[in-house]
Amino acid sequence: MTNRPPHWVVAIAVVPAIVLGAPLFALLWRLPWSDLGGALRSEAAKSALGLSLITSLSATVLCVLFGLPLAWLLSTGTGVMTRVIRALCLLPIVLPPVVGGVALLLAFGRRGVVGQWLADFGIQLSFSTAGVILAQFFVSLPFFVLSVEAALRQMDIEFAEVAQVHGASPTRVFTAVTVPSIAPAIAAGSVLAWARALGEFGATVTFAGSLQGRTQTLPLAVFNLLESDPADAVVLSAVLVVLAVAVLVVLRDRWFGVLRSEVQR
Amino acid sequence: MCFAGCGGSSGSVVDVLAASSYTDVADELETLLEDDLGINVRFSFGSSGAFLEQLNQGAPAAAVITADDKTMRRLESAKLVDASIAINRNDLIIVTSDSDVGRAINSLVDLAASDDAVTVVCADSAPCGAATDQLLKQAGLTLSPASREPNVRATLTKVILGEADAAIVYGTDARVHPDLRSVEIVDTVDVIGRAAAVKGKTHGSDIVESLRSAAAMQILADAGFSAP
Repeated sequence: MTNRPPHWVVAIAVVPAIVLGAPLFALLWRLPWSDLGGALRSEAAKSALGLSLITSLSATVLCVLFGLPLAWLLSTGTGVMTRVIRALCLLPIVLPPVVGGVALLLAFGRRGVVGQWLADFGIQLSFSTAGVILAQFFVSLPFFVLSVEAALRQMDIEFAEVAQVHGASPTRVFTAVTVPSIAPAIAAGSVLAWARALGEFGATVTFAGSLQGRTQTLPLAVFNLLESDPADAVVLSAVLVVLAVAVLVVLRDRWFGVLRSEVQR
Repeated sequence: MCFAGCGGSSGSVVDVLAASSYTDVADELETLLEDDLGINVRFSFGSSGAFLEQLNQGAPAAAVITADDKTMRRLESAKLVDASIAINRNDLIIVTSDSDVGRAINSLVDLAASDDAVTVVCADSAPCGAATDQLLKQAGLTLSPASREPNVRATLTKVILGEADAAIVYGTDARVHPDLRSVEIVDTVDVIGRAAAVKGKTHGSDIVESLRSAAAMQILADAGFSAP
């Protein structure tokens, strides 16, 4: 028996669908189709696109390298420290990005707690491409860690135990058994983290500033163009929308797969 | 930007969009306008460059104050505002931190020649950035800034926070922070601030009229803005 929702539910449900759909529709509507190439070939657009790809991919690689051990630690721990670290990991999701940027300045800025020490070695993160990557890493790490930790907790530990009984070291068990079995979660977490890094604005403009070719990523270029050339800003926005839709398509099978198995249970 | 429910007694608040360089005179100008006109006035700040898009999208402002001519001309030619008036003149100066690197800068030439000064300027889309580009072109100098910040206040903040050693900002902004060193620029570029009423809004022309009163000029002069 199908349980069809009554008409009033449909009527209410249409409202958020319009609120979510209208901006995307409007963006495509206002897209200057005849001048797409021109807008994308401009120096500002090209360098923003290239910089965004380099920084967001770098941030994603860092998320995997550092996030995997962190997720492993969190999935096994039960103590107070684990809970504190998990809370810290969640914070960037709920924190307004611009506040994250201020916090990054206070920590890694030239006069920051860590930054003034780095400055002694001639390293300045603010206003640098490395600073952009750090800001993106800060905001996107939680998405990777949460995704992987959940998979680790749900994992069937039988194989890992068998491997351990046969004398495999914890490191060997993790790389040879655990990682392959949670590979889909690692992939999904990476894509989510990458998408978040690509869209990062607030922390970046606060911590790394905005300079074409060095720190001006796509979202910053959109913000800057909105004041000088709104039509070009719409084109660059559309690029971000297309990338976001691509992420959803890539993740669709995984998310729908999870939903399906939930329903069957 | 005003969303539903803001401003308490709705309908009685009249909004004025102002360039961020007017941040520190806003309280006094608000009080003056409220005494003059008997209405509730609220300033909101941003980069003048953004005002065109905001007014195009129906921002609820009765009057606009831009930091330069060029931005106001764009609003006028888009028929968004009535004829504007000049309310003040501002000039560009250099501010530096009190660090060794900062203290070594005593002219625009020093700034352009300095290898280790971290310098920030305004984005080319903001009036202070456009004026900075004009200034450098006029002087035949090039600068490699570490960042081009969205507006003049964001630019100044980077020096206050110590992230940058030097910045090019308006003279009035430098006065607000006496602990920063300010360095005059020879043959600087003048920037004319202008005010205009938004078309079809009540109180707009009254506000503009009041902004050119002697009392308003005095408030601006006290903050370091020159007469237009």
